[in-house]
Amino acid sequence: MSEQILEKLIKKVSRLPGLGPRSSRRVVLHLLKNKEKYLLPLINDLSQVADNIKSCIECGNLDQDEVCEICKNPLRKNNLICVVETVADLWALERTQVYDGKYHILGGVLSAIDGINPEQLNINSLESRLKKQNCTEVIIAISATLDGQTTAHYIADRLNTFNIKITRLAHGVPIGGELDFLDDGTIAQALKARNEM
Amino acid sequence: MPDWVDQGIILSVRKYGEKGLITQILTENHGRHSGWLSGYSNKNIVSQAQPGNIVSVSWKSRLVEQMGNYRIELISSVSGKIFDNKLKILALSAMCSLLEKILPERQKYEEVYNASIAFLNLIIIDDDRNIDYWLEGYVKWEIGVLGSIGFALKLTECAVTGSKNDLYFVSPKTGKAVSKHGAGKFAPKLLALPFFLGGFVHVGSNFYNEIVAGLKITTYFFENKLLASINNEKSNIMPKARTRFIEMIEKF
Repeated sequence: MSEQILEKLIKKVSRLPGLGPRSSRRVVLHLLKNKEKYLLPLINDLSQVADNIKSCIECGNLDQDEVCEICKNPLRKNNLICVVETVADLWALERTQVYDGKYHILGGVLSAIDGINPEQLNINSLESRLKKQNCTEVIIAISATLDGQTTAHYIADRLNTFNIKITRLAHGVPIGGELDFLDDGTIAQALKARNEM
Repeated sequence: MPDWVDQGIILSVRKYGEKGLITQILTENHGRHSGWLSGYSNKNIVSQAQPGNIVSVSWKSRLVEQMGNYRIELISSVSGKIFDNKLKILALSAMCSLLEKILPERQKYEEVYNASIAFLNLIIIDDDRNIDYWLEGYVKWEIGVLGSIGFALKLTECAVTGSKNDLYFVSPKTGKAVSKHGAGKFAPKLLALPFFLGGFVHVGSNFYNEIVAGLKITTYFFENKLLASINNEKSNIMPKARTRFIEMIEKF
C-alpha cells in the first residue's frame, strides 16, 4: 500500500518541469529523509499557494489579492502598459529594475500550428483596460519568433483605434555578443534599429 | 544506421517535453521531413529553428521509419530579416503552413523546394517602393506549387476559343483561362483572372485587389481539387495563417 502511494507521488513529481523519473525519485527520497525540515513546510506552502494565489483581474499576474501588487502600486506609471506573453516574462522584465509601468499578460502567442486564435488570448481585456485607463503608451514585449512577431503586429493593428503610442522591444546584438557568431537576421535587425551616437 | 545531409526550409517547430523540438523541414532531396531537434533551452538552436529559415540539416536515425534526430546549421535567417514587415511575416507563415499541410512526407518535390527558395530570396529584399510587388511572387509561387503537385493551371490561352488575347477568367472546372467571348453566359461562374497573371484587364481598383483575385484562384484549387481529394473533413480547411494573410491584404 505504502509503495503504491510512493510510486504515485514519484510519478507526479516526475511530470514537473525539469524532472524525470530518476530525479523525481531523488526528490521524493530527500523529502522523506528530511520530513520536518522540508516535507512538512513544503506541504504547508503548497497548500497556502493553492488556496491564496490567483490571477490579477487587471493584468493576469499571479498574486494573493485580486489586484496584484504591481497594479496597486501608486508609484508605477499608470499610463504605460507592457504587454508580455506569460508571468515568467513579467518576472524577467521585473528583474531588470528599469521598467516602472504596468503589465498585461497575454497568455501566449498566436499560433497557426498549435491552433491558438486571437480569442484565446487576453486581447479583449487589454482593449477594455485601455478604454478605462488613461494610457499613453503600450510596449509590446513579445518573443522574437515568427509567431511572436505575428502576434505583435496583430495587437498593434487592433490597438490602432486607441490613438496611443505603440512600441516594441528592440531586436539586435545581445550584451556580450560577437558579430561573427550572430545570425544574419539578428544583424539585419540590429542594423535597421541602429541608434545615433 | 540511415543518415543524410541536405538543405532545407524550416516549416514548423513544436516544443516537445523539456528540451526537444519536433521540427518539420522541407528538404531539397528528401521532401517534407520530420525530425527531433534537441536543445530547446539553447537560444542559438531556437533562433535558428524559426519557420522560414534556410538551414543545412543532417538527419540520423536507427531505422528509416523512425523520426530520427536532426542537427541544423543556419544558412539564412529569413524570418529575422522581415520581422518589421507584418505582411511579409504573414506571407512567410502562410507559405510554411501551406507546405506543411499539402505536401506528403518524405517525397521529393524539387520544383516546390526551388520555387520556395526563390520566393524566400524575393521576400527578404528591402524594397523602398510603397507597393508590395513581392505579393505577385507569392501568388505565382502558389500556382507553381499547384502545378508541381498535379493541379497545373493553364492561363496562357482560352480553353474555349484558343485565343491568347482577351483573357478574363479562369475555369474552376479545368483550371484553364477563358476569354470574355468564350465565357458567354457562364462568366458569373468563372474566377476572375488578374492582370499580372495574364488577364486582359485589371481586377478591382488597386494592386491588392489583383493579388486577392489571384489568391482566390489558388484557394479554389487547393480547397476543391487538392484538399477535397483527401478523405478527411478536418484536412479540408486551408491553414489559418494563410486565411489571416489574405484578410490582411483585403484590408488595403
